[in-house]
Amino acid sequence: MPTEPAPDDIKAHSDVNTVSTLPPTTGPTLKDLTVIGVIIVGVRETSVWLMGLWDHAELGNLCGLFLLLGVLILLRRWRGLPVGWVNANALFMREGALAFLPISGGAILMLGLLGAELWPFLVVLVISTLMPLWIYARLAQHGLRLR
Amino acid sequence: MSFNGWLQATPTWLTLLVAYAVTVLAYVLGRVLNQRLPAIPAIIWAVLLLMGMLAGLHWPYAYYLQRVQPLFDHLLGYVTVALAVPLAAMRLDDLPLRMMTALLTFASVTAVLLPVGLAYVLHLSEPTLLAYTTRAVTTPVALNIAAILHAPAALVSLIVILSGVIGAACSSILLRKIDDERAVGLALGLAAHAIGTVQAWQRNPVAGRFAAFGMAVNALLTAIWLPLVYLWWFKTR
Repeated sequence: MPTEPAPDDIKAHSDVNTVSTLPPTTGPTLKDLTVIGVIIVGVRETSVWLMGLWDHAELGNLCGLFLLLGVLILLRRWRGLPVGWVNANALFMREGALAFLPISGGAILMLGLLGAELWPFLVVLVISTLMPLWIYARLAQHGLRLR
Repeated sequence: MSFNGWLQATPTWLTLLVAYAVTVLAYVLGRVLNQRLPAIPAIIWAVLLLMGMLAGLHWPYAYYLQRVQPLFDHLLGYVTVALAVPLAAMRLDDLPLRMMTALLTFASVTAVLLPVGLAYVLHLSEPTLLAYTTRAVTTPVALNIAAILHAPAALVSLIVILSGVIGAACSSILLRKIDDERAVGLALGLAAHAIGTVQAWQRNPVAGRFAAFGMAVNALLTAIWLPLVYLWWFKTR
């Protein structure tokens, strides 16, 4: 007789037409926020420190991303990912724009400094955004229909 | 008292505190304004408010950035690492994997080659060319790649944000004949990253999930191959 999947186990759930898993049903708990926060900070700082030993501290963030991804994939196969972690992380991701707000401020100033490059710059930006958007959508629709 | 005189008279901790407070206040107000006027992304509101507040304080941007950068560099790192969680939680059982792999690879490569090729044809400067390489990558990852490529961070940020706004704003017209929400979401995530993903969520939850998937995988793929190609290119030149 099939057993009931554990409710806090991410691999136990299936949702047709989704690539992410569970939609958040309740807000993340303080415990989940703390655990996932400590994991992210720990992995990032360790990764930057390790890459710093090889004089490539600038690779620390990306290496931290790959390191955590590898660990979480193994954890998911072994025990499943707690849904609370995914929900807590979703909150961090939603508010992640705060992290690049200071740099983005400089972006607005940069627009004024482009001078003669402004119009070609905008032409490249518009074409290279809208053309792929349309092409990717057409290709994805075609490919998913064939399924 | 002149600005320099005021700065010298003010304790460092106080200027730091004001700089952080201004950033958080601009962000919170940006979120509030975005709820009132959803057509304009929260990050755009927040940037405009931040620049207005800095002008009100008579703080040069360079001074402000110097104050806040150490802490926000850490935050940017955490947001980058946090992308691993939704990627690890994805289910791929229901998807045509070969088709998805081909599409994601095609998207990752063309998202770099198309803008850089166009910028080269239009004789834009080398820093601008480098900044265009990360056009389709979400900002936290784009800024990390920019550090490796020595591309100007502010220009990278400008390109990523503006392309997200353009893609999200034009998507309803451009994609009106696409009736599969999964395809719409995937295209928005791949071409207009975070801002496009928000737009996809507003359109439909299925589109939103596919957009998040497209954005995260594109960031991951580009973060792997682009720095390697760049380093190889400069070694062989």
